[in-house]
Amino acid sequence: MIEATDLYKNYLIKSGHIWKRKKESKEAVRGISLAIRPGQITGLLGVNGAGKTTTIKMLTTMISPTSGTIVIDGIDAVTNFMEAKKKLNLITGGERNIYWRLTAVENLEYFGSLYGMKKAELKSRIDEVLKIVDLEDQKDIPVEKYSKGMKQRLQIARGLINDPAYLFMDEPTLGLDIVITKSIHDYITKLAKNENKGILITTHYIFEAEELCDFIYVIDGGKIIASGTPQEIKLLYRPKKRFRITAAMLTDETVNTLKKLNDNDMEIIISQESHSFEMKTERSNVQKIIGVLRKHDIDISNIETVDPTLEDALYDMVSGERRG
Amino acid sequence: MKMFLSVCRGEIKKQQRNYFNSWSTYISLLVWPVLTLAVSYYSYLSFDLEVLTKIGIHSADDLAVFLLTGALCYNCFWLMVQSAFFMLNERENGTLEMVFMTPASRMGILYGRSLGVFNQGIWFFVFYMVMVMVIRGTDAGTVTGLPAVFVSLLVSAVIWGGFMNAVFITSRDASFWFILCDEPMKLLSGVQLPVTVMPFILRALSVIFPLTYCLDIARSFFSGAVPEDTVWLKYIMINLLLIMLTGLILRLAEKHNRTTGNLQFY
Repeated sequence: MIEATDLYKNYLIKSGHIWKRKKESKEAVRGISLAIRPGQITGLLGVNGAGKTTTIKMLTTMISPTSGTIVIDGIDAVTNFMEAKKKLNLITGGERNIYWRLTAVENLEYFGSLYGMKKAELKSRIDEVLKIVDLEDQKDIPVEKYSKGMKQRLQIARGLINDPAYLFMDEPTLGLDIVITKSIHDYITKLAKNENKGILITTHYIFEAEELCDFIYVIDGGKIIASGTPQEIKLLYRPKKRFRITAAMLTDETVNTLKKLNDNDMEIIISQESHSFEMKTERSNVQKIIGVLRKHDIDISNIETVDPTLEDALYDMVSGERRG
Repeated sequence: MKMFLSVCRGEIKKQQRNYFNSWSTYISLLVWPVLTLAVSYYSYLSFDLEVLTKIGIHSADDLAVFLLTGALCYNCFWLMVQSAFFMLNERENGTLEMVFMTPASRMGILYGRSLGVFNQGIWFFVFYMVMVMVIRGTDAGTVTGLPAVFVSLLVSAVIWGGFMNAVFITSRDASFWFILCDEPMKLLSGVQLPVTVMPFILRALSVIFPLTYCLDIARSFFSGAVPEDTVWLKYIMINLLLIMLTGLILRLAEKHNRTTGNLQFY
């Protein structure tokens, strides 16, 4: 298990020009404690600048915490980081981090050699990981000729080359289409459930966290503001109910009147194309909307309740936290 | 040691596959140095060669061998500086970060990168040696000196490459080393002009470049003599010092990068 306790990370930010350099300390992470268990997918969610990447870099030993401890299966990963690296690997989203002029096999041979793997062991591991990510037929093609999805699958293969006990995935489906995203989700689930890997995933896509994660940490301003299973987080924050109202085409005047109703207690998302709009509000406010529509002679064809999603809970949670 | 060798092997293969995978690369590696060499040779020839006798150059052939030796050694060292310069690309492409994510031997990474590039130096070496033998003939002094020149050049250039790679890990703004190691190294090490004719201050600066000693060794062998013991001693000392400095820079750089996160800056 990976156990991180009370992690802090301060960066020294330099600004100004060469003769008048100002140095300022920025706290990127403030007292984060978390656990990653084998066979489990743990999510680390937060908005841009929340401290996700700094946290993942500390857990993967890429950067050292200013204070706090990280213990990986009994190894102190802060002081004995070279030993801890043997148990880890990192997969990032995007098309970087691999050599484009090399083939998939050549990339994997290279990264495998960095773990001191023997030739025969490396060869069988390469065959194995290429099979996992379905790149066996394209293994001898230079990476520069790969599609985005194939490059991402190769990243996963690279991350698996040392058979790590723990795998860190920093936005692994960034910029990928829905079909490839689905197949990558399947690989990730397979890795946790069939191969007992402990996985930590950071993502901006809430549906991804909801679909994949067994446990979630929500981070904002460098602190964990909530943790639990996706269900627990939804219950914990009880976001406002959402109502989807389908009506005839709205006039500009109706839209303006509806927008005037928009206050802190109510949020209205109008989708004119589909003749529907959604609102996040207390049930009592629905009456006000219906009143406006009736007043403007707009026919209502349907009103339905939409269950709150994890995204709703996170949105409420982060905006609530920022309002203080 | 097993880890060091595994990493070195992996780096050598990767460097060749990634950077030296076409005939045009090999040809371009040769064309530019040969042109530079020709320019130097004909520039010298436009003056009276008589004045060069006091530095042991008695004929146009002697001059050609002097310049060929300078070009051979300099280009092998220059290849190393280029290998370090590739580090900047790797920093931007994120591959450097992935390399440091592994528990690979750090010295293995640096020296593997240098060795991977030096393989291309063998191409130079063969070309220049054939030229030297065409001029000098295959007399015993030239032929028996070849292995010693090759080994001393290989060892020193690879150690220099490791040092340069370590320097480029320290910062993204290390490109001034690239500039420093072009003309200044060429001038101060005595590539085209013997160090002995330089003013004291320049001679003093020449001691910091291992290329100076490689040139002394190669020129001694090609002139039919054996390098003096003091030259070998200085050669060993400077290379040991560079290995120690490389290890120190590497340790400090990784510590600094772990604190600042600089390895991840794109």
